[in-house]
Amino acid sequence: MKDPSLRRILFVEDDPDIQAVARMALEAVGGFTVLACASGSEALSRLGDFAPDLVLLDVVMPGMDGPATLAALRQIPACRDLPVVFMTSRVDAQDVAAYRDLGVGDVIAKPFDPMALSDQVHSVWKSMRARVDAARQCGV
Amino acid sequence: MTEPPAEGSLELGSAPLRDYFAARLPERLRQIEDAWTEVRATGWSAGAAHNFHRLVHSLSGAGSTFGFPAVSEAARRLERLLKPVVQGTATPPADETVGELLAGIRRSG
Repeated sequence: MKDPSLRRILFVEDDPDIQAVARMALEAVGGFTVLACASGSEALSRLGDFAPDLVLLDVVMPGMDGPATLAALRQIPACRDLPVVFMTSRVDAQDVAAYRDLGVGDVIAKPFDPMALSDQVHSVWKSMRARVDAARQCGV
Repeated sequence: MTEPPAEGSLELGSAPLRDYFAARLPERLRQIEDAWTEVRATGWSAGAAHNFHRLVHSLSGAGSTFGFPAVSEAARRLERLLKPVVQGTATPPADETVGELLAGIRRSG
């Protein structure tokens, strides 16, 4: 079930082939509006004008990597609670636990099926929102 | 990293994605070979090792996405070897070991 509250995705990925195929899949299959950036610093500079609902963030990038970009995002008051999902091939249990400690909402594994990517994004979005709603009900 | 694909050069669907990546693979392999040359030339300097690892990591993540699971698997074997080195928890492997894994990546494509 698609959630209409998820429409705009900021996608940060340095690999141009992965960036191109994921962007195409998210736009053509998922119907999302996508802003693709090749680096964490580019994402931070273009974030304000785009106002994403969700950030999909590569982990291993030159310069500012995924965790550093996430940390910088969280320093921006308007982005403190912006949902961020890591997209990475580093999905060992230890890695995923470390990502969650950083405040990542979820992780999408690479390699990914381009035709299924939009459904995966909706799935993690639904899970994240459910966790937020549960935390609210518990008064957290 | 390689240049972005030209407008209209990429289409969704398994056959177009495979064709696209097959055309891109030689350039990606050349970049990895160049990075490995730099690693050896600098005696595993941190910058060269990180770049080498990043390129191998990217190939691992890209291969199966474009219908080349053997490329992903071969790259993943090398990435597993490099990851603890760039994290500073292991010493660099022998050149021969890296060379064999690189040859495996070339054969997989």
